[in-house]
Amino acid sequence: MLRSAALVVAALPLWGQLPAVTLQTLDGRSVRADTLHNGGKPMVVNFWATWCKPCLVELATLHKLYPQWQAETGVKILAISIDDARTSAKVAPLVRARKWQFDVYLDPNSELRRAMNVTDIPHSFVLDGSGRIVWQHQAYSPGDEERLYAVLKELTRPDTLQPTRSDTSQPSQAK
Amino acid sequence: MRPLRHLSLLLTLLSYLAFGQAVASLSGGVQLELRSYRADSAIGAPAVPERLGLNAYVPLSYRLGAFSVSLRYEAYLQPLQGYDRRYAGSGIAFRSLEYQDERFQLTVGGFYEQFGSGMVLRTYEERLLGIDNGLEGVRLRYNGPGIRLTGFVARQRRFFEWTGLVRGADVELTPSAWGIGTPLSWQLGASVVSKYQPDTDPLYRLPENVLAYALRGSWQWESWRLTAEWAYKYNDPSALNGYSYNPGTGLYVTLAGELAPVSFLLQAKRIDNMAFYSDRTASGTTSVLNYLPPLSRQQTYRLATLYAYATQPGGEIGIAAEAIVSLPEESLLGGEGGGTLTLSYSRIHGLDTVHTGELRYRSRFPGIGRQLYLEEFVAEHTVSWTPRLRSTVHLTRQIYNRDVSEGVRGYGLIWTWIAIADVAYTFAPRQTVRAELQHLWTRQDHGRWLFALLEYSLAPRLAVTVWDEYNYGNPDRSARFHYPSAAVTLLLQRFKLVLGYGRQRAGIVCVGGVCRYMPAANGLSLSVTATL
Repeated sequence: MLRSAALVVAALPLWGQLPAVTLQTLDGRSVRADTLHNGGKPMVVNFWATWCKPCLVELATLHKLYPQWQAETGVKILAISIDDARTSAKVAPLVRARKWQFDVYLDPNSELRRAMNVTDIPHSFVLDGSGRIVWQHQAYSPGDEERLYAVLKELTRPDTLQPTRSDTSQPSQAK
Repeated sequence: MRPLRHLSLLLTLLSYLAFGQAVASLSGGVQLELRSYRADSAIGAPAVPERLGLNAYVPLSYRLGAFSVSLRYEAYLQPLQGYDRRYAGSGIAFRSLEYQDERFQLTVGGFYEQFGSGMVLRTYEERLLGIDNGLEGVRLRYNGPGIRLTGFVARQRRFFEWTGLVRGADVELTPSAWGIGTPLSWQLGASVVSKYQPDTDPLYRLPENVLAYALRGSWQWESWRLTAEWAYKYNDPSALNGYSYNPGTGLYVTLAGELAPVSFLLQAKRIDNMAFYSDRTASGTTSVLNYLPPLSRQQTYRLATLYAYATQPGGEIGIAAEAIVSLPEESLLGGEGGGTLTLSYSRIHGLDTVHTGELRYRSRFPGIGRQLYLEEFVAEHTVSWTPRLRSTVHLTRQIYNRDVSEGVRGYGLIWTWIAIADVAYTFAPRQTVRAELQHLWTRQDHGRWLFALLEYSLAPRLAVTVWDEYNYGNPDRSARFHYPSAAVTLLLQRFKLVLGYGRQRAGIVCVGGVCRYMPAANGLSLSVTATL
């Protein structure tokens, strides 16, 4: 019985990836999460909200490191705000005031959050060049970014580069 | 054994033959909230006969190419204190089958939906508040260039059953996607929601079908963005509005922009009789169809949430303004690493209404009533002094109408000042100590409060937090209680485990302006979350 159950699971090509859920850009356009990619390079998907203090500390830290990380690993950071209708209008002013360069998306009814089983924020995922979720971390304490950096470096070592998905998916444009 | 093997072959065939190189993925998670209860008569924590409460949520979904199947198992054995007792039991709380391609999405079974800002429809799940007003039925969506269409017919979740009948449709157009009106980026939307409930009332002739609609638009030019939504609900007598035959209206306008170095946001909102439930006898957070968040600031510091305002769906009018000043690096207020200064103000009043007859009233526009519901001013300064030292200083001035917000009598307006200092210092690689000191001044209600917190974190695995909340200024000297607690958080990539012990004061817990009363408790708590 167990062996057969294992066979069922083994027969399926299983890995986590971004689900087919619609997000909004800060200027109100719709984008499907599963079409977001980084041309074969890794992506960080970070769930946050304007009212979440540890999230703001984490994103402020990543903001400082982002230019260096981009140069070294080509990483793209997607900052997914789960602010709902009460606070979602605050996202754009906050992002501008903090001069963040991340790709910021709104998930006002927590559709992506639910699809990725995110309970509490902050919660970060790392996707490899082919879009598979290879690492994740909940919460944030100063120093967590070192582990994240190590994961990104490991993913972009010349001998571990993943096959790209860019030939099969569309760039992140509005539908 | 054989059927399972056949299933495995079938699934393999499905994935490799029918879908070619189709993408397949399995995802899931576990959330367990376990709490022990000890009677503590001093703070009003009751003796709980079962002594333990458990809420568990286990979602699972499998996607194969364009198809996906999702389930969520929930167990409340017994429900945690503060959660509706009607949750007691366990079962499959969510099940759905979905097909999605480039243009179409068809959902059969459970789904969550929001139209516009949610004034006529928002169904969602908020476990902290015990809210799940999800829908179950059939939904079809179409996504084309510059156009999005949604339509559904469904019943609504009520604990472990699905009741009522709700129909809805929404259209959203992005003319700028067709090159109309560029460089302005703009959208227009319209939604309609209708609910059906038979009239069994012996006295009144109640509308069995109630329709609500909303029109919305948003316009963006460079950093400036204006959004507006207008909602209207036909007469919907219900237990919550005292069986009033008045229609409901809602207006929500937001303007955001930037005048460097200041980013700002201006909001105005007027709500009149907009409570919208799939069941006219319901109240609280069950069977709610829409979402009416208040314009007050979403506070997160403990004492700043002591008097948390909740929207009055019966009627309120308010404005809010927020300015975020960017403080440059290497400056006096911005420290080495830069910072922000946030100033926000909100003021909410009741509506000016005139009673015109049994079950009717007249409300002029805008009709700002004399009764103040909330006034709040918040100033918050956040800065990285050095790469290792950061701080937040927060000041709130609040006038809170406790009678209106909590539906009680005899408390009136509560005037408070709240001051908070939050300092974090990274003293060694990956090791940080954070301290919070909060003080609340008021002469009303329970008087002054003090809150102190100390946290040590060792990234990326461990955090230890101790805190105490002390009502030292309670006018009743015998009620000057301490509420000490401690928690240990362990993190392992996919797992988070929080073990806590302590006293919790009775109070209102709010998420997104929706609030729930949490009774006082004393005991051990264990929270486990894991993602697959």
